[in-house]
Amino acid sequence: MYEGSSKPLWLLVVALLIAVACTQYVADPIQYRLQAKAKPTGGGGELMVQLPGQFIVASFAGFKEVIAGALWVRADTFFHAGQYEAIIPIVRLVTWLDPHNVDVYSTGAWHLDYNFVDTNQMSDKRYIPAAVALLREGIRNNPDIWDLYFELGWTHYNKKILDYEKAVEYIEKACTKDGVDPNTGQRVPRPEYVDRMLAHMYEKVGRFDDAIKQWHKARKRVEEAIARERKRKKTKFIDTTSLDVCDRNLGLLYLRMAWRYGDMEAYRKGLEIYKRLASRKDAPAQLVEATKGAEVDYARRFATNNPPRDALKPLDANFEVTWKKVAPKVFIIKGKVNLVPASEYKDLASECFTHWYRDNQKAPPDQRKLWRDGCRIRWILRDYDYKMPDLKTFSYKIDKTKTIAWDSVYVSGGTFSDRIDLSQDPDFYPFKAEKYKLTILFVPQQAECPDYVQDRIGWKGEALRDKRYLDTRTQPGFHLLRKEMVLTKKDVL
Amino acid sequence: MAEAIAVKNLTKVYGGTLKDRVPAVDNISFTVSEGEIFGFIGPNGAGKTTTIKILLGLLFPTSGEAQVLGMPAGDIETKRRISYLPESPYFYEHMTGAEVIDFYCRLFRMGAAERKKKTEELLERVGLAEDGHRTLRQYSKGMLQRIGIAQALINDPDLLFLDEPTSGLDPIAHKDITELIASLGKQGKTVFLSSHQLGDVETVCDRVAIIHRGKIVKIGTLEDLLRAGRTVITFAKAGSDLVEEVKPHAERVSADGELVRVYVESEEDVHSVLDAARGKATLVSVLPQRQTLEDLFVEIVREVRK
Amino acid sequence: MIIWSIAKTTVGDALRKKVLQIFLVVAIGLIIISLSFSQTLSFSSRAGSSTDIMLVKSFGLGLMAVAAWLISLVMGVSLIPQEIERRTIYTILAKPVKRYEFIVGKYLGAVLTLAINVAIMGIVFIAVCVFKAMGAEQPPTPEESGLAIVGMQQVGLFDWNMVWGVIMIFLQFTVLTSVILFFSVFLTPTVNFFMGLGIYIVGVMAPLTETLSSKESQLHPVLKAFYRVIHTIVPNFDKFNVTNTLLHPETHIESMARYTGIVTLYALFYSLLMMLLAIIVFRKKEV
Repeated sequence: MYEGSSKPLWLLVVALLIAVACTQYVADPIQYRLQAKAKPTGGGGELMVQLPGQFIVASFAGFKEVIAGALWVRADTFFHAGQYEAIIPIVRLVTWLDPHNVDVYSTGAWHLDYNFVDTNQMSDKRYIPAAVALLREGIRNNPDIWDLYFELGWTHYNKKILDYEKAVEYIEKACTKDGVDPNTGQRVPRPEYVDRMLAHMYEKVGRFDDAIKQWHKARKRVEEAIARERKRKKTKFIDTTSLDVCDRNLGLLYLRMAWRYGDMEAYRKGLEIYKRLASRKDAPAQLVEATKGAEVDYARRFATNNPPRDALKPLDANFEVTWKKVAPKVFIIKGKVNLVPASEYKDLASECFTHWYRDNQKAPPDQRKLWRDGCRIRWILRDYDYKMPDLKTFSYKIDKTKTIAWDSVYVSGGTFSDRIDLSQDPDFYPFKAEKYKLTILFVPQQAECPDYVQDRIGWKGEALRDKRYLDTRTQPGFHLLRKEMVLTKKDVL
Repeated sequence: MAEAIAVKNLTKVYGGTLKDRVPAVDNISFTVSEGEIFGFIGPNGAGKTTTIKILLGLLFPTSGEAQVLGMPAGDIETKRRISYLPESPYFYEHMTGAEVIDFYCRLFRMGAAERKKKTEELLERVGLAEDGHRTLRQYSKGMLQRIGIAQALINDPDLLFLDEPTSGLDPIAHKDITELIASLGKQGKTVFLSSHQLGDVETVCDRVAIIHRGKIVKIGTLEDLLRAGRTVITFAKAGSDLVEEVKPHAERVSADGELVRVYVESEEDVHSVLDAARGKATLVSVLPQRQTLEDLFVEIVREVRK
Repeated sequence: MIIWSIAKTTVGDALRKKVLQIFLVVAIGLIIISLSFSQTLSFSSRAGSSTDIMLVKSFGLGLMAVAAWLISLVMGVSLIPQEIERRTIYTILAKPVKRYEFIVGKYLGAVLTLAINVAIMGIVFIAVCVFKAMGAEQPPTPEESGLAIVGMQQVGLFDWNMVWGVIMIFLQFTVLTSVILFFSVFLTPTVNFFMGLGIYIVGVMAPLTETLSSKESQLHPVLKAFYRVIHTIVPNFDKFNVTNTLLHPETHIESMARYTGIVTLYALFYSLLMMLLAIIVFRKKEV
């Protein structure tokens, strides 16, 4: 041909083919590192066949995340219609399509734990393992951000499952991670409240040294957050009250360590903090008065070498409780517990600060409180051999033949009673087993035990005594009140 | 004189070997001298466009040779000296007349100043100076044809291939183009003209080739082909032996229904034919005639068909 | 100069094609409308804004990919055939234009057309993303913490990952265009359309051919080799699909810039390969 031989061109073709293959070879491993590492464990495979064909094609066309987003928006409709069951398969689908959609994991778990409620607004506890498994999967797929660790620890272990040790474990992890800007994906520091929550949790489980350290860390993070906000100047207000919050919490921690256990060094440190707070121009009068009271108390005790020991003075709980079936699956729980008579506050060390007793006495006799209410008694009714499964992989199929329910009853005036109706939701409470275990307990930790009650009995309920129901083994270091009963089918149905 | 085009035993068969297909161009040979205006005529499907495309390097011959300006057909450097105006040319509609010319100038790697000059010049030359700013979408067929001619003149070519250059033109434009072709010839340029407008071919061409069904049926100067000085003797009611009697004296005899026409070259032959035909047919007319190219064309095509 | 001139006319011609204009306008319209698709999710434990932004981004990227795909298909299949059908190719090739100059010019023009379309869509898309991000704030603290927050934090407005996303789309479809250009030299537009479609689907399923040809695959060695060949020869369009990574950049520590660089090289080599093959075939093509 007039344009010359094609041989050199073919050689170039071969060279380019090699170049193409080489570039592909280099790019492949980087691409795998870029793409989602973790695969959803369980449920993803079988759901493939349920997906309409066009979803599969669209997945390949790069529309995966759109479908995930659109499905998730659809789930909102179900939520409004109250069709909670329909939401869960969507959660499974969406997390399969887009394993990095953090919102779906946290909201899906929230649904599972909180929204399957019976007629009396009690949630179905059988979904808890699924919620935990889902969040754990979310954590596996998104291990470098704080969000899901915190979610699992705070919203689930702390508030729902009431397993505070596990809550601490997860919130600790959250405090080692930062977050991402939801738009640009750039690293941003985690919100400063995460660190504060950890400090609260340490207190809750009685790790005071860790709590103190954490409050210092949390305060530093608040300072950093304020500095960042000042630099950015984009906020509606630069709120420095969070600094005060850290200070007050740490101060109170010290003071309580002093009042409850006699740590005078802690007393001094707490006062230092509060004196600084009270000396401010805008300090509330109540704070100033409380601080002054504590100062006086401290000086007196220091001079007389008489450290306070509120939580070490035994208090007999006198715990009594009855559980009666009034109809099939309907029960009345009734009882009394000596938490806490108002008179107990008269000589408490914390009174110098709180002035509760003094103020109570100031009220007219018919309005004076005889008790300080606020405690809650927890009851758990379950199949005798029921063990909450520890799911390795997320599955929302629950065993509907199992029964487990728990709730708490408010203590007022030293007594408590409640009508528990499990008869209206046979789906939730099938009662198929022959035997059941009923546990009624009082745990001296917040929120079932308010801080003013802890002022009397200690963080760990150390002051509690009871002839019949004191339990010091279930949670080492803690004094619980615990009654266990075995019920037969006849007792419940 | 050097040969501008030299075609030797050129054959083109589309999509197969000689065995199973009818060739579009079948073993043709001809030459075109420099400075000649060469007419290339034939009915539709005769192989005209195929031949031109081979000469331009757009198609490749199955066998045989084709040379343009001394180089094998399709040579890139040769294309600097030739140009082509296809039948019913089409250009990018979104461009203006000036932009089209400019585009083709760029294909010759002309600089900006040269292109500008050339564009103005050519638009003027083809009578589109006022319309150069309008898009081709707004052009009439005639205007498009003129743009086509303009682009064919950009490189002041030594050899032009013109395929139906006057198609769709009004009589004035038609005349303009014909005159342009003639002037090109006077300038010493070679023109390869393929056209159905036999009147134009007859007017401007020096030599003509007639191609039909892929073969060159007739080639030569117009003089030779049309034979000035010929006489046509027409007879009616001819007896069956008339043709045999007159044939020795005639150049050609053709029957046209009842009439028999005898073409003789010289005056002597006229008398010989008249003598030979006495008593065998009725004389209708004896007329001196110069055949038009059209006549010749039709005649040849019909003959071949028979 | 010749290549650039041919490219320019190709761009001018393509941009005036009504079909392509409609694709572009519809795509832009849908991208803008996507601002209203998303709703603030009332039940989300986080502010719905992050999901809203995610929806706008993923929808926009997916839509641009589909539009670019349609544009390169429709434009590409008629790259050469249209020139032959309209006979514009004759006046060009009758000039001293080498055949490879024609092919390269056409391809360059097609790539430029694609770039213009993708750029327009990309600018609208990124503007939409920024607009969506404006006013979106970080979620507040859980109310039960009872603690004051240090002000609401405006999320970052400009996400560079979306720029990478637009670039990836462009690169992906320059490769597809080069394949279609090659086929347009000798296939009719209709056949080429389905051919391009088929190659795109196989190319997108590259992870599948990769898996089938990998060491862990249970297939017969001959089949494995076959899939390996397919995986190498058919353009690997999946390489360009890193949408999930772009939407969730916190999930990786790999540099996006580095990956884009390598993928650009891949696109370049592959396109050159296809162009070269097109030139080789076109040199012998009769017009």
